[in-house]
Formats: sequence, structure tokens, C-alpha cells
Amino acid sequence: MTPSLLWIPPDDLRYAHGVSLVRAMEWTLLSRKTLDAMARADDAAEALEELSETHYASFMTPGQHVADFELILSRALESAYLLFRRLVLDPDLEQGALRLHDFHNLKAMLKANLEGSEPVGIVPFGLVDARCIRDAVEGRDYQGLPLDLAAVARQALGSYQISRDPRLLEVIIDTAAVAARVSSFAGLNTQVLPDYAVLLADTTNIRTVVRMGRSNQDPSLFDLACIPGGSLPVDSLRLSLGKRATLGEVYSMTPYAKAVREGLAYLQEKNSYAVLDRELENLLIGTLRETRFVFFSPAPIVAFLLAREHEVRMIRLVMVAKINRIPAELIAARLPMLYA
Amino acid sequence: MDGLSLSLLGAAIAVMLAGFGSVIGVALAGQASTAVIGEDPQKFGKVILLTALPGTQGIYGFVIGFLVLLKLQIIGGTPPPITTIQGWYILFSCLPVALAGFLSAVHQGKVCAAGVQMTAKRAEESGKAIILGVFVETYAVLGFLASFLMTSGVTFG
Amino acid sequence: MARLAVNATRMELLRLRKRVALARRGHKLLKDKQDELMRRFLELLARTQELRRQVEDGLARAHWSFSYASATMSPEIMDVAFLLSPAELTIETSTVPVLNLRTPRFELKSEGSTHGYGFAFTSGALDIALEQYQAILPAMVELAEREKGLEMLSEQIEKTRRRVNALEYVLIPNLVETIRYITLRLSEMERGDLTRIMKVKSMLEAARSARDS
Repeated sequence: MTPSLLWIPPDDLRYAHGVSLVRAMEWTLLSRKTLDAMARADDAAEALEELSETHYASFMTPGQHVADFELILSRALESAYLLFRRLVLDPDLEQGALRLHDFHNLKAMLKANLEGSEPVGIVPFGLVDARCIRDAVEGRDYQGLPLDLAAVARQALGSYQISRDPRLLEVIIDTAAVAARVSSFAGLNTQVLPDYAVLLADTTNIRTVVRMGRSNQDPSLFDLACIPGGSLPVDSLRLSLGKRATLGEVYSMTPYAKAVREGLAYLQEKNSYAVLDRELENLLIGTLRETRFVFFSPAPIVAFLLAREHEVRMIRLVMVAKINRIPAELIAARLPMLYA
Repeated sequence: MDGLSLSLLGAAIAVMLAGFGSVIGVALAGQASTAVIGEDPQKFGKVILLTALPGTQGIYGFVIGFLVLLKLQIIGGTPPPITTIQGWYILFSCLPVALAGFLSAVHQGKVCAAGVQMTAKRAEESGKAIILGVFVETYAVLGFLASFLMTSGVTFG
Repeated sequence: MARLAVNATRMELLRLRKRVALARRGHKLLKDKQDELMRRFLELLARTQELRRQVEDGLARAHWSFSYASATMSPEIMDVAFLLSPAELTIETSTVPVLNLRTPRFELKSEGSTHGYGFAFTSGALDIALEQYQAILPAMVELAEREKGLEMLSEQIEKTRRRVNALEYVLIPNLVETIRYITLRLSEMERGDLTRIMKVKSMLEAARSARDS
């Protein structure tokens, strides 16, 4: 590692190989053109056909049925996570990117356990084996889990047992999951990722505030749902909670002004979060794009993974919309810009 | 310390530091290149020059070291008597290629690795990446010239 | 028209006449009831059709929102969001008398919020979809209530109509026919008796005049 020249973070030369590999694979990310073509396709089969002419062909089996497209997406994600874990050399960063899935599995196991049903919705991408989480949840013995998971499991379960409100349980775990990613990225002495962390916390908080304000949720819930580490002060977020009309003004001096203004206008008019989600996503992707000026840092590798995750979400949006025959122009309103 | 030892120290520093820099630089560019070639073997021709570019500093250092040895007549002859002052002359004249070579090799390695990353995305732009790498090379060449002129300026007698 | 198998006696005639009067009165009552049922049926039908359209539109919109919501989230997140829902729905049933019918009444009670999930990973579209389902739920229950009422009314109308028809086209004509038959029969018997009496009388008179002369 060469020393930092004043404000520029030090180059992490260990990543020369990884960044190069990721750059060599950037062509596999879908272009906006492909995604638009999928959105314009006459039906789901045609959209899948369009997808089969891309990198995703390698995750398809011949005669792949339209309804199985989730399988294709999950294979694509799995290969992206494998690549990421191979290329990233800091365990902290690995946790920041993948711990999320452990939290998701923990949540699924806890909820299923409390309901007395078999767990559903388990994802295989976590750092901890799902069976291990299941054993811990069923035995209420978190010794075998990593410390952060164990602490959150205890806290979430404790608050559920007092309040009997599954929303509290879920909010506590979700907040911990996002906060883990935020603090992992923010703690890195490298380019882009700390900025991304701040943006991630802020955009998540804005979405939460808008949603809570719209469905008149108990404002005290926000203290649990608020992700620390953002640039917006928690007080101003909480203040804007009840005032949907003035929400745009609260953020007028922040980078989120445009997203909030347009998003709220669309929400008012069409009763849909599509534009808010899209604009906030554009901010996140825009920040990730700055990694193209970074050469010796894990940032481009993380950006590649996040771009792949984002791309998978967009493909799902288009495919489900096609299967349910949602008109193309409505999908187009939701599609944000892409990383590649 | 006598003049001969100081002169040899200079030659050693020139070869070592410049070589050390080249090792770092080539390794860096090489790591980047393996990734690209692994993904697309067709690009080998495009990245090979970028990988080799940081290696030149080591050669400059070695040439200066060799010149010093010739001058001292250690190779093929008996060394003339060298005063301590002359020894210092030689040592100082070796420093430009040593330091400029070391730093420029490391940084050229970075530029070349970044160039390889660019080539990975846009194969047709590899020529531009090489030009950027060559800009760094300029200062290694200047250091080499300075050392060359200085060593040839020293006369024993 | 079938004639009833009865003895053509004056007693029977009187009894039948009473039955006809009763049947006519019953027919009128049933006819009135049928009209009233019909009126209620049509009124309820108009209101129900409007409600049905509302429910169908609402459901279509909610389904649309839901499929959009499922497009914005991974299926795993969706699955987990619906585990352990705090919402509880209970439907209380009671009956309300309409004429002599006991039409059902459903009372919907929902407790707790359907929002049993966090914000960070679910999308806002899910909120909207669930809201739309929740908004349509009371109307759906009311629709069920009204449609059951309609079904019962229509059954009742059918039954009443069959009774009215039976009275109007079978029982009353049969009775009238039988009465006519008995009346004819009785007058015939009367005429027979008269002839017989006249014959006997003439025979008696012939015998008397023979004896006298």
C-alpha cells in the first residue's frame, strides 16, 4: 500500500487484479437498450428470448420456461457472489456486502419459528449457513452465531415478546442489516464507498419517512427504523414525518431535493412510489458509477456486485410485469439508469 | 570509506532501486493483465506492452550500474586508485536513475495497470493507455540521462 | 282439465265452493307477496350490481398493484414479509328478517395492521397493494351478504311463483271444473227425478182413471 497523498485515499494495490477482472466482465452487465427491448416485448416469452441473447444465456437451460425466470436470476446472483468473495480480500467488506442475507435468513427463521411454521424465503447467499441460524433460533441459543447476528436476534425477539408486533421485530432486523452495510462501507479508507454508505442510509431513511408518513404509522417506530450514518439529521427526518405536503421543502437544500419533489408529485398523482424509488436508485447508481475513476481499491468490485444485484431487480421487474401484462409505459416509468 | 566502496555502493543502489521499482510496477500491471487475459485470451497482444513498460527502469538502472563498473575497470582490468571524493561523485551520479527509476516504475506500474483495466473494457483504446504509460517513462529516461552524463563526466586521474 | 274424484253430492259441492273461495283468496295473497318479493329483489339487484362492479374494479386494481409490488421485490423478501401477520379478521354472522326470510348479515372486524414487515427491503408498492385489498374488503363482505340475500329472495320468488301458478292454473280450474260437473250432475239428477215423478204420476193417474171408469 502506498502512502496517501493528503486527501486522496491510499491505493490498495492488492486489488489490481480484481478490478481488472471486474472491468473485463463489465460487458456482461445489461445495457439500457436490452432492458428497454425486454420491456417493449409483446409477452414474457419474448422478453426471455431477449434475455437469452445476453450474458444470462449461461444461466439458462434449453427450453427454459418463463415461470422459472427466478431460477435464472438466482443462478446469476450466485455466480456474482462467488466472484465477489473470490476477489474481495477484506473480510469486513465481505460482511458489508453479504451480511444482509444472513439478517434476512435470521428474520425468516424467527418469524417462521414464532408462527410455528416451516421457514420460507431462505436465501443461499449469506455468510452463515442457514441451518446454523435455524438451529440457533429454534434452540434460542445464539452461541454459534456471529456476535452481530446474535445481538440483533436477542434484541428483536425481546421486543417482539413485549409488544407482540412482528413489525418491530422486522424493523429491528432490517435496520441492523442496512446499518451493517453502511458502517462497513463508511469505515473503508477508499474512494466512493463511504459516499455510497451515506447515500444508502439517507435514501433508505427517506423512503421510510415517506412510507410511514403516507400510511400514518406511529412516529416512534421511526427511531427504530432510522439507519444511522446518513447525512440527514434524524431530527429533521422525524419532523418531516407528519407533513407530506412540506416534505419536499424539508429536503430542498439536499442532494435528494429532485428525487423527493418528483417522487412525491408522482405519488400524489398516480398513487405509486415508482418515481421516488427510481430517482433514489439513480442517485445510488450514479455514485457507484464514479468507481470508473478508481483503479486500486475494492470499490469497483463492490460496485460491480451492487450493479449486478440492481440489474437482477430490474430484470425481475420487467419479467413479472410482462407475465402480468402490465403496460410497457408503466414499467418504463420505474426503470432507472443502469451502471454499465 | 574508500572511493571504490562508495562507487560500488552507487552502482548497487542504481541497479537495486530501479530494479525494485520495476518489480513492483511489472507485478502490478501483470496482475491486472492476468485477469484480462483469463477473461479474454484475445487481448494478450494488447496488454503485453503495458505489462512490460514498467520493466524498463530496471534496465536503465542496470545499464548505469554496468557503466560504473566499466569505468572502475572492475570488469577486465585493475581498478585505478580512486579518492574518496571521486567515490562520492560516482555515488551521487547514480542517484538520479535509482530514485527516478524506482518512483517512476511504481507509478508507471499503476498507470499501466489502470491502462490494462481500460483495455479490458475497451480493447481498441490500448494505444492510448500505452501513451499515458510512456509519459511516466519520460522521467525515468531523464533520470537515466542525468546519471549517464554525470558518470561519464567523472574522470580519474 | 282434470276433474277431482269426488262424489257428486250437494255436500261436496258446498265443500268445493268453500275451497275455491279459499284458493282464490290464497292466490291473491301469494300474488301480492310475489310482487313484493319481486320489487325487493329488483331493488336489491340494482344496488348489488353497482357494488359488484365496484368490487370487481377494486379487486382488479388491487391485483394489479400486488403484481407490481411482487415485481419490485425478490420472492424471498415477499414470503418473509407475510409471515407472522399481526392482522386478524373475524366475521360475525347474524340474520335479518326480510318478509318471512332470514337473510344473513356479516359483520367484519379487523384487528391489527396488515403491515407486519419492515421498510428497508420491502417496496412501497406493497403498502399500496395491501391498502387497496384492505379498502375493498368491507365491500366484498357486503357484496357476499347482498348476493346471498338475492339468492334467497330469488329462491323464494321461484317457490311463490310455483305456488301461484299451481293455484292459478291447476287447483282453481280443477275446482271450478269439478263444481261445474257436480252442478251439472246434480241438475241432471234433478231432471231425472222430475221425469220419474212425472212418469209415476202419469202412471198413477192412468191407474186411477182405469179404476174409476
